[in-house]
Amino acid sequence: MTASHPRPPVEGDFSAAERELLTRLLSNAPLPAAEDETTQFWRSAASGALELTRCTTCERWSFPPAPDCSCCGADTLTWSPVSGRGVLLSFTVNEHRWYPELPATYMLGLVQLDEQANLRLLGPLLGAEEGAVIGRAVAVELWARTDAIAQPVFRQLERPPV
Amino acid sequence: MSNERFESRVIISGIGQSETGRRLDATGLELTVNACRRAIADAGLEPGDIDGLATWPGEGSFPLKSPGFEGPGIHGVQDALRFELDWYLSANEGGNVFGSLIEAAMAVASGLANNALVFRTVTEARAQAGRRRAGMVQNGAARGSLEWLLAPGAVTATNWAALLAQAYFHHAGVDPATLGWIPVVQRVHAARNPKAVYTEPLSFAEYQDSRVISSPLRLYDCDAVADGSTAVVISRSSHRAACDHPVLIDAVGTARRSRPGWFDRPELASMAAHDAAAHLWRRSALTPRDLDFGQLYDGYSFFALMWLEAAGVVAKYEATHFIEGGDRIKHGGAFPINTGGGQLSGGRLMGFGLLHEACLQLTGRADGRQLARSEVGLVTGGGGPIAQAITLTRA
Repeated sequence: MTASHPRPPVEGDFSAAERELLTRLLSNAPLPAAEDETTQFWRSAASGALELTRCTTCERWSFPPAPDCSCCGADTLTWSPVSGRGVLLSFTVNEHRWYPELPATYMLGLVQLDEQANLRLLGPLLGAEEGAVIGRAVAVELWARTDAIAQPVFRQLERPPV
Repeated sequence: MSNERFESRVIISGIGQSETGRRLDATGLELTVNACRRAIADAGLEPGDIDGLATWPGEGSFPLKSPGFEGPGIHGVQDALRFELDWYLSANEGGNVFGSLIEAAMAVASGLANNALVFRTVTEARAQAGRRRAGMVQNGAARGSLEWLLAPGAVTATNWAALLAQAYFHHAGVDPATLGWIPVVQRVHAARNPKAVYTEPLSFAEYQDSRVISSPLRLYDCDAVADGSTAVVISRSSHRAACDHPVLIDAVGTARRSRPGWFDRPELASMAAHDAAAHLWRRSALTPRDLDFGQLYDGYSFFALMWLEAAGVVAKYEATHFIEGGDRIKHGGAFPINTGGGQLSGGRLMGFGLLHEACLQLTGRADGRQLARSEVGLVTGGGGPIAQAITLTRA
């Protein structure tokens, strides 16, 4: 963990329309508490490489971040970077403004990371203007919200997962 | 084993409900006291007989700001009715939807109380008057299980239910519009219920034309915020002869074997409902074929659809076929559901409206909408990771 948490250089990866959408959505959705076990999840994202807890004994991943390994119980979890690749398990197009500051329409995707079957993350879904497709590969991108918090967002890719 | 179930030692001795509707000119405590007094009288009891009290979530205990959701807590209600209590409970985690009811039944069965009153009050319509239905906002940052839901922008349970529904329809290979038969049928049922919030006819075409809230869920897939209080009294079974309208609790199911996240079941398009219903049928001597009707939790129509499968009324991925056209789930159909309109049209009374309707049906008091056959009913609470299932029988 570094002493400072510079914003990741990711803004350039988003189109102007995506920047506008994500700014509106993620400036107004509640911030994560990012405390205790979850601190490093958000901090790693903010430093540009998303990390999850992984057990050095059984090599399985535990999510949400846990005090010890959810699979084998060993006290040997370490924060390790994930590939940032996954598959779209489900999605929704939200079309109701739950509060006025939110965008009129936005997509959310539920993604299973390639590392392990039960590593599932929810996030804004990009790149699916032509239609989200369950089973399609997605890439994780990171949107800075504070110096210590970045939100994983997903970009639907043009191909099924490898 | 079945003879030893705690459920056999208790009865629902009385039910009561306040006026229900939208933007009622009454406070939550007024509605609650009214419902409680009616339930106590229905049970053939006096307020002084009530020695147990339970609700959910209780005043100030819910972490999300949702005006009118909580209703008054047990302390205020105990005081307003000057109950002398041997047992009381308002447990935020675990109490939703029917946890309060089941805990009260266990308290009476175990001898901690003789007559336990359980209430659930909402004033969401009054509190949110003139505004659109709001998302969930925590006081401060999103933490705990909500950290993974609210922070990325899924600020409402509608989004969470929609994600499950999208996965379900994808795997079932069915057009999500089929879901519309549930709100359409429930609107038909609501027309026979003078206390329902929405009673004007709703056609399937109108459903299909209604606006999307969070795909695939449309406006009419979401329940209608309402004001109202419902109360029931749980008494020892020895009280049965002294009350006019007893209902028996056959069995309850409370299991959640899967991880508790909304999206953490190995099979995404399933819910804790599957565990709770399996638990129910392990504990009951009855089977799904014995059911005459279901009051299935319908915070979203999709939840009711899933309960049909979870409870074994239909097989996996057959629920959409079962509801198509609506006849099978209507009054007079093979398995009528939500016979008072449910929460979609009757109003979102947080499961207790469904419980109240089940008790009316089982005591022959569902005026204008009494089912021809109502000996055994299924009442379910919850969706996603929350679930309880209860079989009730005519005394």
